[in-house]
Amino acid sequence: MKITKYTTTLLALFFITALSCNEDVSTFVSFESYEWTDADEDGGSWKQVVVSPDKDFGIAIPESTSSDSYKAELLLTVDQVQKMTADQRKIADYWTSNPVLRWNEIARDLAAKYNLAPAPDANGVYNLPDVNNPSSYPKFPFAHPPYTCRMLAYLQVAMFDGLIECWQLNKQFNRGAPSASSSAIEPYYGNTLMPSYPSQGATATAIAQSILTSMFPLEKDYIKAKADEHLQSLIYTGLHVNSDVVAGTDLGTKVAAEVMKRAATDGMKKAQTPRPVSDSIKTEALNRFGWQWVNQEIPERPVGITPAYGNLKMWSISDVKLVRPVPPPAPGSAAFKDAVDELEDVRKNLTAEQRRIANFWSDGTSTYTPPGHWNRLACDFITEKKLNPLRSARVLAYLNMAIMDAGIACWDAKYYYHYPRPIQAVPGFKTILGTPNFPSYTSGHSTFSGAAADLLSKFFPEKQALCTQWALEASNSRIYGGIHYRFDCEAGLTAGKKVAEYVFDIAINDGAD
Amino acid sequence: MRTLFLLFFILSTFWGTAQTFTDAEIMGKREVCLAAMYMHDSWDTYYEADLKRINGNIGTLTRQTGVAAAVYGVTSNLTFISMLPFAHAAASQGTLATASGFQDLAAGIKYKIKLLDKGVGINVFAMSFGSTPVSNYNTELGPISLGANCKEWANRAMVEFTHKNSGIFLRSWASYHMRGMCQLERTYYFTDGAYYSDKVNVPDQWQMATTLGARFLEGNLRIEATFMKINAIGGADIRKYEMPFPGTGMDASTLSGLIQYYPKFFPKLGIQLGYLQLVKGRNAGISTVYSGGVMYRFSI
Repeated sequence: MKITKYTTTLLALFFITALSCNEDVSTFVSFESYEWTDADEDGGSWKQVVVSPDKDFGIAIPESTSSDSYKAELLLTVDQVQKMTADQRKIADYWTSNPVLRWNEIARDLAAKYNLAPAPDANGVYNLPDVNNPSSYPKFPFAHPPYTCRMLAYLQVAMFDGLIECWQLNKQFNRGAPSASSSAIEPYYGNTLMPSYPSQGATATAIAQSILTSMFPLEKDYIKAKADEHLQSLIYTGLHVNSDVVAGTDLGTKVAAEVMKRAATDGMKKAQTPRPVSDSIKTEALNRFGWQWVNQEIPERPVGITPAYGNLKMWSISDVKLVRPVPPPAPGSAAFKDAVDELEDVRKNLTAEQRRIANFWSDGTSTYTPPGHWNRLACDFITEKKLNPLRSARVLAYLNMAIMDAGIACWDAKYYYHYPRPIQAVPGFKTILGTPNFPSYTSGHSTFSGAAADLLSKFFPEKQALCTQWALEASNSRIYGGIHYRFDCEAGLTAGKKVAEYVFDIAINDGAD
Repeated sequence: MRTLFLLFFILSTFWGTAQTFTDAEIMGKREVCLAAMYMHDSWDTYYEADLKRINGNIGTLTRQTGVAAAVYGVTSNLTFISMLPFAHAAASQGTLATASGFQDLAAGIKYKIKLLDKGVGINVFAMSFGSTPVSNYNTELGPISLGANCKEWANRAMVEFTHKNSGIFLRSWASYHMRGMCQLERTYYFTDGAYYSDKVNVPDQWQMATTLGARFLEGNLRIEATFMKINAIGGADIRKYEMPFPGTGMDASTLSGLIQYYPKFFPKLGIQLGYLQLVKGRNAGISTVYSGGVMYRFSI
């Protein structure tokens, strides 16, 4: 009898445990399609970031809705809407009424996939990714934070400029949506009552495809498959006829090319300096300040991540020195010792909450980096406010301009001051986070977060307290992780906020508000 | 029963899970055994997926584990086992912090069915055991982490053939280990793809082993050698120069040896020495494990 009891109890436990195993884990952010709070019908008049106002992309004038060719296209759309399958429904629900957000997510995931530090080869030599030979190890790119924030900036600026162009053409051509010409079509995401030539979704998708393919060349096929999937969905969801999509694709491709002209000359090509240049930057710092950062990995990485990133062309500031922080306290000084005392104290008495914060904001290798983290938070705000794709692109464009400018400002400080990390300056110091391969002052997390939080607070004033708290947490997380001094973090937050103000000065003058 | 048992190996992928329930011993009714074990597991080469590599930022990783165990004979066929390991892990090079703390509390039962009791004895065993983390350890320290921070439940079937005159025995077992979700302190991770969650599916495992050994001195001395295989069901590979992660699928094949002795002059006390070598793996450290322990038994 006893045994039966035990067995029953065991079996019960067995099934309880079985139930708790193998939960589904989502591979994307779930959000419902929504009707836009405002279609911003005059969005075509807003000021673009890169594209000049008189630029004409030569998009073909559409046939009218009364033409035979349009009627033939309409029949094809009607046919596809009526034959929509369950799988297509799933795809449509995945892309939602705001593909700008899904592309931002795909970009973040690609960053995470490519955010792996190159390993040393058998001789202890670190090779670097080569844009001209992307598939040989280490694969191109290494999507570290400077790479990722720049990638996101170009993606979102091009989206913003392209959708302004699209909104303008929508209004100019004023060709109605298929649902206006056929009662057989009920648009899948609800009626936006917007003209639909060229397709807004196709414009966004073509831009994303062009820019992401150029940023992640090995993902060409994956990105194309995603783009095709979305373009096809624009027909069977009843949003568009084929010529809307073709024109949108044409427009998006051209706008992306225009925006990428800036990328070709922004200084990124020279950011990852060869060793002699890197050594001279190091020596300059030693001569100027009497200290220098040295990578502590085994074997030592001879060159840090993108030493000349501070020279990149900024979106909002003419000269990076305008936001360069004051010098950090010299190693050995009283202020330095105070900062080290704090690190030692944290290391010895780390609380569960401090560890959680360190891990939550770590955003290290194999993640979308701090810029990606702030993009994700921004996308959540956007869905909450039900912003249309144009307005979403606007938030994300300025957000990522601010984050990239923050990155440039931070990297300028990092390699100008060339300040040693705690693991270098404090003998025997150990950390719960991996120490990144660049100098300590200022903290990248803090600068990115200071800029992102400030910029998002402007667009979402109701989120200001939350954003400020998150930025402070992200900043402190580096102290808890043992990889930054408090003065790194404080200077970073301050510089980030300053940068965001410059970017917001552009935003308030673009005609959107 | 003359001999008592306890064979633990803290094994041998990146994060050990305490192994017990690997032998065919069972307690007498109302008999208690208390045990203290020590394990020293170290590796300097590991499998990154299938690639053997070393890592200058780890050097040699050493994990030392102390285990306290209590075993009780509920009936003459049913034994209850519980154990609690305390682990300390440190890398000899690099700047990552060390980790130490209680790992996963394990408990379960073993039930014996006698099939044949002649010149050759055949016994079949059914076992069911689970473990749960008892401290909030950090799973973000890669190979230094104390564990995958998940619940586990396993069911194991075992058969042992014993030649009574010579004391030689052959034993085989297989088990399925259901492993739950690891709770992370972040809401995104990328392994074989992107995951938007703070939970990681820790891969289930198949484990199987075959042991050949003998009992001497009226059963007071036991010597045995074991080949064991652990196979993850699914799970991602460690990508190039990435750290292991709770969702990593870890495989291991190991060879091990064990000696256990109960002195005739004080049969309440037993000692045990063990050695284990990982011979082949995937996403696993090439571990060498030394272990030793003392057992004290009495009836209540």
